[in-house]
Amino acid sequence: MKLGLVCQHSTREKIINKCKHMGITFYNNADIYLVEQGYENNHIPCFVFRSNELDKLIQIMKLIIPKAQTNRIIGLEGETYHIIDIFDILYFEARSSFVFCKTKKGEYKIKEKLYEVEGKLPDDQFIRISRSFIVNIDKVSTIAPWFNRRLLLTFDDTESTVEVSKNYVTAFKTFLGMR
Amino acid sequence: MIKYNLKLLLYAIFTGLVIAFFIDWISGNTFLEQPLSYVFSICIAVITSIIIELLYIKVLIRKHISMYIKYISVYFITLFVYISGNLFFRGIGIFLMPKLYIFGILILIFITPMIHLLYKRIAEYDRFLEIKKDKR
Repeated sequence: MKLGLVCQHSTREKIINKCKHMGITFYNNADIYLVEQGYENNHIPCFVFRSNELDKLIQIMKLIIPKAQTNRIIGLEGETYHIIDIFDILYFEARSSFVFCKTKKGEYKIKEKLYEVEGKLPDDQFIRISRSFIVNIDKVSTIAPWFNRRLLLTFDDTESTVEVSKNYVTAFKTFLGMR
Repeated sequence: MIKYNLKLLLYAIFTGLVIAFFIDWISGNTFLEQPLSYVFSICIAVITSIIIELLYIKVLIRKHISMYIKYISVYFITLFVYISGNLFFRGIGIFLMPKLYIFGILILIFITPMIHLLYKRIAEYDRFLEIKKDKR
């Protein structure tokens, strides 16, 4: 379930700080909204809260979101485990029976299978682009035409490139809103 | 990408062979009379394909590189391949032939709108990518 948050900027920052440890992500296009009193317009269905009762709101959120989509993943680099924020991940790659996630800083081995990781990720941010890759659309810098009707993706601040395979090009274009 | 690179290598070898066959055919030579020229032709095709791939990935589709540098590098690589290919197959005397320069200019005129089309497509993808990012 995707959760939206509609409130004053200062209140939003307070709520996001309080929710950090809960692994909750807020979306613009959500299934249900948390709306500060006075901002109810067009955000339905919603829970209305008062800005002076944020602790109460957090308690309710814990009850209504028992299984939020995760925003952290544990990755292994050498002998060291790292907690990786999913927003820092460029892409996930399945390679030689392991799954790796690539960030600007490095590459980490993940315990889960690619389809298991896919199920945990926000589906409006991460998209499967081939049998072996899931990319974070926020980190994509360029989309370019590529050999044999495929697409080539480049990423911010890195030389990495990833190919959108022919079978996934249509789904990828739909995801971008091109179809 | 490894699969793609292998495919590219095979295509380059095939293209090199076809070019060598074609040159033998238009020159009236017997096929495979000079096997070394086939090897050189394949080498030129493979090196060209590697240069073009690197140019595409490292320069053409990168946002931080200016359009001016992109156009200049494409022209430079194209002329380099064109002139080195002609030098190899026809010798240094080719520089005295005006058609070398005429074809060179025609090739540059031909590739300019192709680069423009590529950027048009990249710009379209870019527009949708930005809309997608803004929506979130």
